[in-house]
Amino acid sequence: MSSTHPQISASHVAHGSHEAKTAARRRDEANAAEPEKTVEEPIIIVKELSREFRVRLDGESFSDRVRRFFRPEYRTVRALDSVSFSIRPGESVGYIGLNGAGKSTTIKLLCGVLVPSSGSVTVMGLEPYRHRTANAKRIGLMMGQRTQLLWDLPVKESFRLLGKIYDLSPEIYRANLDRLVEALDIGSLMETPARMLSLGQKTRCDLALTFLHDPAVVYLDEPTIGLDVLARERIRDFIRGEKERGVTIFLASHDLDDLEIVTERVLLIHEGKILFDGTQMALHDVVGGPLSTLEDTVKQFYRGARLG
Amino acid sequence: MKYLTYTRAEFLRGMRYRANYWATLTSSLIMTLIQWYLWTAVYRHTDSIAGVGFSSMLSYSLMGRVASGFLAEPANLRIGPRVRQGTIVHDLVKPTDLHYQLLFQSLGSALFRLVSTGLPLLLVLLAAGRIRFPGAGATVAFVLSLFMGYITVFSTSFLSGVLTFYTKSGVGIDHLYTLVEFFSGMYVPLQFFPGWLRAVAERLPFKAIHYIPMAIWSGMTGPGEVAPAILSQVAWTALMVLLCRAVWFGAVRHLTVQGG
Repeated sequence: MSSTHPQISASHVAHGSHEAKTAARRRDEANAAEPEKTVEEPIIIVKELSREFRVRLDGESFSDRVRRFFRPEYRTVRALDSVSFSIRPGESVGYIGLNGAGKSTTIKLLCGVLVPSSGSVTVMGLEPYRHRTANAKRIGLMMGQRTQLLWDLPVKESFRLLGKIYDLSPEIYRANLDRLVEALDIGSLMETPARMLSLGQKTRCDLALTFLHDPAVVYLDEPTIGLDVLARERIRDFIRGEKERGVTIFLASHDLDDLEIVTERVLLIHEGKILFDGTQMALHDVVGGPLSTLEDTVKQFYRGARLG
Repeated sequence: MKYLTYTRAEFLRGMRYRANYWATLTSSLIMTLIQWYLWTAVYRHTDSIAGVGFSSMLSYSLMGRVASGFLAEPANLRIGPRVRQGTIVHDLVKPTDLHYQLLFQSLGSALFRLVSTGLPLLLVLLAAGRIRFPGAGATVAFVLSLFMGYITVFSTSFLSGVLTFYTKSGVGIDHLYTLVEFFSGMYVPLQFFPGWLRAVAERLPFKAIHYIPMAIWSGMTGPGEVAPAILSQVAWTALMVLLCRAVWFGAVRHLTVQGG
């Protein structure tokens, strides 16, 4: 479907490497038109990034499976297909796509937990997978579905542990902890073992842990998953606050509501390709209607693309 | 030393589960009694088996029970769930090394079991007069040897856990662990093995887990043989740690290249 995807006239569409370059150039032109805006070096540069996985085939019939137990056969799946984008320091970006679109794969590549099949990733001048530990000191990662809290111990022990791991001085540790405890209202949870926390409480603690060491870039993978409206609100406010402190935020989600958190820029990913790179307003323009569910948006996007 | 924070956290974690603790202590006392009666029965009609006298054997066996919690660290169980549930990503995006992290984390729970279960048992056995200190030199050598035993048992378990990276399943390897325990001398000292089996055991690293420290404690290793025994244990321990490093780097490479 996406390979036959026709050109559309909206200026922010990035589709394949050529279009991505065009889009990037147009962004540069837009920046040039606003001289008061200083153009900084991108903090994240992703160039024609692809990642393939080898999946072992299961087989249709019983005998098929027996045969493949002894002689496995594989199929190659392209989770990410020549993706390009760059992010400036302090920018906040929503990385939006359906389940299986390639969001988590992108985050793993950005963190250096996966090696690219082709193309390149540069974060603060380093290739993350070559300098995983050096990169780790400057980034934060939160996965909404996988907690990093010490399961059996009071929450304060998780903070203590991370403080030591990141080699924070007692003063910085204290100051950051106080700020995060205040902002996320987790002071009363410090003595509670993590396994006794509610999902919302756990998420708040996980967020605080992610920001404890003053990371320059934070990757959030579905941070509000399963949360109620009030809890989301709180988390949204917190992330906005961190953004104002200059932290670069990369937020992956399948939930369009999460876009409110990041406000500025949206990357729409579908089947491993970036379909759209631009502001939320521009996405509205392309879709030409309310951004309801993501699935509808993707469909409308294709429809709009055909019309264009 | 930031890794000691893991040791502390894991020691604290041990204290969270009181029921678990009492159950471990009780079963440990029962196992000790069983060993005691077993070896008393075995030695009823003989003074020496394969050159090992009764008091030496009892000392080997009872001290083995005291240290059993310290020398039984299932580090593999810390790796399997990480790989299957994907939380290993969290470990890989921290400025730490998971191999060292687990070494110190496991040390925390091993120390907890040593202090909470081993120590009371030792005091009971001392009070009952069933355990005697072998002398200052041998005691120091024993403590040193015990720590190296811990590193070797951790490394063995770590290596089997890292196989999860390739098999994606935590079980299977576990069943081989009884063999490791057997060759470590946990059930009977290596002197009791038939000649060919002892030759095998002498060429494996597992004797550095249990046999070397317990033989030093019980006096099976004569005063002149302690230094060579410790040296051979140092060599085996270093070899195991280096093997873990190599396998760990290979596994991280596999994980990042093949994908989780």
